[in-house]
Amino acid sequence: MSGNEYAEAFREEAAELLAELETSLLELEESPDDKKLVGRVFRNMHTLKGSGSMFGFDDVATFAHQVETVLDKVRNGDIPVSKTLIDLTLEARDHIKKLLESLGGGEIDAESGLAIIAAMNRLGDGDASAAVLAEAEAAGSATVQPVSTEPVVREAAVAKDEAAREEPRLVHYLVRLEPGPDFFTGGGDIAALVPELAKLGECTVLAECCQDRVTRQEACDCDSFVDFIVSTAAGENAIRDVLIFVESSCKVTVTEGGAGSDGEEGHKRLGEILVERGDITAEGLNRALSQQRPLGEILVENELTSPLRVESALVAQRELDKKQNAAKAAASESIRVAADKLDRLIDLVGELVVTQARLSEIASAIEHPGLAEPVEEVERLTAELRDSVLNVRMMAIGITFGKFRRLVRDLSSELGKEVRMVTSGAETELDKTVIERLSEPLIHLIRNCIDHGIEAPAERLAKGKSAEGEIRLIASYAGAQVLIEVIDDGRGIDSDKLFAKAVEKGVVKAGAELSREEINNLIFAPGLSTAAKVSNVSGRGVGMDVVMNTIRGLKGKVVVASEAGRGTTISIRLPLTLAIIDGLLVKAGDTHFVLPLEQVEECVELSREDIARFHGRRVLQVRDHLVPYVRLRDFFAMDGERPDLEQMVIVHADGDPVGMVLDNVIGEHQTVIKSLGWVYRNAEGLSGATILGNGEVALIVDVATVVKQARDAEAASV
Amino acid sequence: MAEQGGITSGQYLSFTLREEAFSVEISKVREVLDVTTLTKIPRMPDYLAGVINLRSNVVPVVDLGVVLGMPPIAKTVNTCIMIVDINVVGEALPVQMGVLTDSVQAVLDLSEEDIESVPKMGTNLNTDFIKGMGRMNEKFLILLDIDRVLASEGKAVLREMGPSVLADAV
Repeated sequence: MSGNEYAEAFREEAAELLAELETSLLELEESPDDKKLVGRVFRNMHTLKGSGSMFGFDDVATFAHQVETVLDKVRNGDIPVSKTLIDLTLEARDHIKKLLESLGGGEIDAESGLAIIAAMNRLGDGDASAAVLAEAEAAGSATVQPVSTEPVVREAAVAKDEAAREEPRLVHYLVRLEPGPDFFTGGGDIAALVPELAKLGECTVLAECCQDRVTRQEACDCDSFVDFIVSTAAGENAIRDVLIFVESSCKVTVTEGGAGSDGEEGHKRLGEILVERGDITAEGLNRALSQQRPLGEILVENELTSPLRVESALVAQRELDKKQNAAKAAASESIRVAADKLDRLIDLVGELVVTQARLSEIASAIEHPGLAEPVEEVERLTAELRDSVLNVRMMAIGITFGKFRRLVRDLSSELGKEVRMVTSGAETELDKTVIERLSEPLIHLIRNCIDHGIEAPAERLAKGKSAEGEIRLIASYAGAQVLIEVIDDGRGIDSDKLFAKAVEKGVVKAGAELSREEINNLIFAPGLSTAAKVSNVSGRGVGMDVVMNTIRGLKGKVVVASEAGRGTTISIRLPLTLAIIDGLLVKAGDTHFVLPLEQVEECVELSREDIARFHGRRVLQVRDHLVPYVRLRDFFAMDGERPDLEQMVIVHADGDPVGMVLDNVIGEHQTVIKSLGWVYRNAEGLSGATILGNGEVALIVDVATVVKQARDAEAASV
Repeated sequence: MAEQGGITSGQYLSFTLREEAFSVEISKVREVLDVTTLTKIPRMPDYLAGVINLRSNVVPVVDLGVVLGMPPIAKTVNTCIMIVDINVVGEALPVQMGVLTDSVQAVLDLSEEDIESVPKMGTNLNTDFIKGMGRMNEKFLILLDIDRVLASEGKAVLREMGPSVLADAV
């Protein structure tokens, strides 16, 4: 791996961390008392800092460190979780994102970063000083008090620390002052040292004797001492600097009390502390420890419990350990793979499927008895391989939900609306590319819901709705498709207004008769917006046509349903995968076509007599029903004579059966979908191409478009 | 390669379109193929000759003669498909495209003295498409700006076939 690849790996990791951070923050806003969430937010920021400095992203690390300092106080309960805090932390998160992006070129706005930190620190200052005041009041006349103050920013020390270790953190120092006989007579005042030490970091005073004795002269001849615990990242020397003036008259010991401000590894054993302080010797400690026996034995001996119970408790303990280790192992069993490697794999499988089709074709022509079995086996293996590889690309749609929550939160507060977002079906899996490309249209849809759909709280209350609007984002499976719905309980689409606007903009003719559904679909027309004024959110009339185009590009469909005053439901249907489908291979003229098998219902024949019976009208009686048909030769304007006996494949498009008339039905075909490319991206009635066993290219028919256009053409000619 | 004047010395691949000599920068050309089965895409303009299967990739093929206002190609044993990389605005990667030519001739080294600027008139071609005139053994060949020729035609197609959003909204 080169340095660049490391940087890339970090960027990927950071992107994930930032997404998680965002989700956690939003969850935290909903349940501010959840300590676990605070911990998660803190850890996220901490990891960002750690790996940031490890990969040389110093500005990210420095910034994250400063945010972390504030978050640490939140975790310790010094700063309450407030909306301001969440806002600032979210801003900080965005800033880190910008920092990461700016590394690829572009300006870094250092000012805004500093502003965020300053605001966060103010938050901390206010609360910390309030806490100090409260404590001082409660303590009354006492002179020496546990004092906690704001640690000053300690960049230099941090930089040094970071060089030494991956995770710079506060170190607890145990400082012991043993006043000499002439300390107090010389005017020494231990209390005066406390604020000085507190400047370095959190400082707690543990006096061996009672506090009001410490400052008094009477204490001078006793062998008493005062202990301080100073939590600082500034190092031992800084502490010694503070104590320099008392060193002459007083014995000063400074020992490192172990790292770990979050208590994970901060737990120090009693014996170790005693030895370090010289209260007992190491041998003494060992001797004492050797006398100690397992807790279980002691308990049994004292007849507090039975050996059996102790045994079972020990077993339980071992099991728990095992489980924890297993959980750790499971977490490491996933690996990160670059998307293009995966794409390459899919391409290869695609080629394999094509080659396998060719092999089967040749094998069936040879009719060798020994060949049939291995060829079938290859077919089965290929199909399995195809499914597994495609499955690798499937991702749960939930990963994008966090982003939408953020959007809802920011936008609703910007617009002065109260909006709650409810999501379900986060586990619904879709192809990675589909999820990525879906994100933008969904953002547009949600923006529209908030901007146009959901009313202001007062308006909602006047209408007898709750002040808080609701947007539901629901993903679910519907057959071989995924259904994604964006539902709001806002004002709905005003069909009359929309229609009037469409006429005004020349999108439809005045007096055109459109069904309600057709009118609703006008929201996807380019340049049409019913928003009275243009906001920076929406109203420019771009967006909804982008939504439509993207969804169409993903071979999906969008349907709008709306009830005035009640809300709007926008349903998006998408195919599970874009790579391979099962198709029916047919032929018209010299060209092979593929119809998606999923849409095919049955195949019937269409003879000249059938055509004559309906006097040229393009319908055929199939059992009790009249089925209209489209002749592919006509639709695709192909030359040549059509055969006497044509085939008609009945497909369902928008629920109604429609016949596709063509020359020959060849059979099922595993269709690896290839794009027709940039040049043909506007080809009508075709959704792509595929390669046949013999190397020829077959065209995939976009059944819905063909039917729709044929219908329109017919309507226009009547 | 293409600097201010759009003309640079270097290697060019020469080919013919209806007897006329053209050339493109060799770096644009990926490979040259014999004509294989072309699948025509229905309801598309004439200059779009269809698609081919290039090692399991579907690649569109353009009849360059038609793009430049000549009659459609008549296939002979010399007919070739040149696979070129076209830079398209809005696409991150170059788009692979096939170009139908009557014959592919040779790779030429053209120095700066061999290249003249585009005559203002007389080529019967849109001068936007021409980078310059290459001189070789007393004969001239037209140095095509293949990006412009194909990408701009692509745009024309887009205009013609502009997606009718309304029609597809249902």
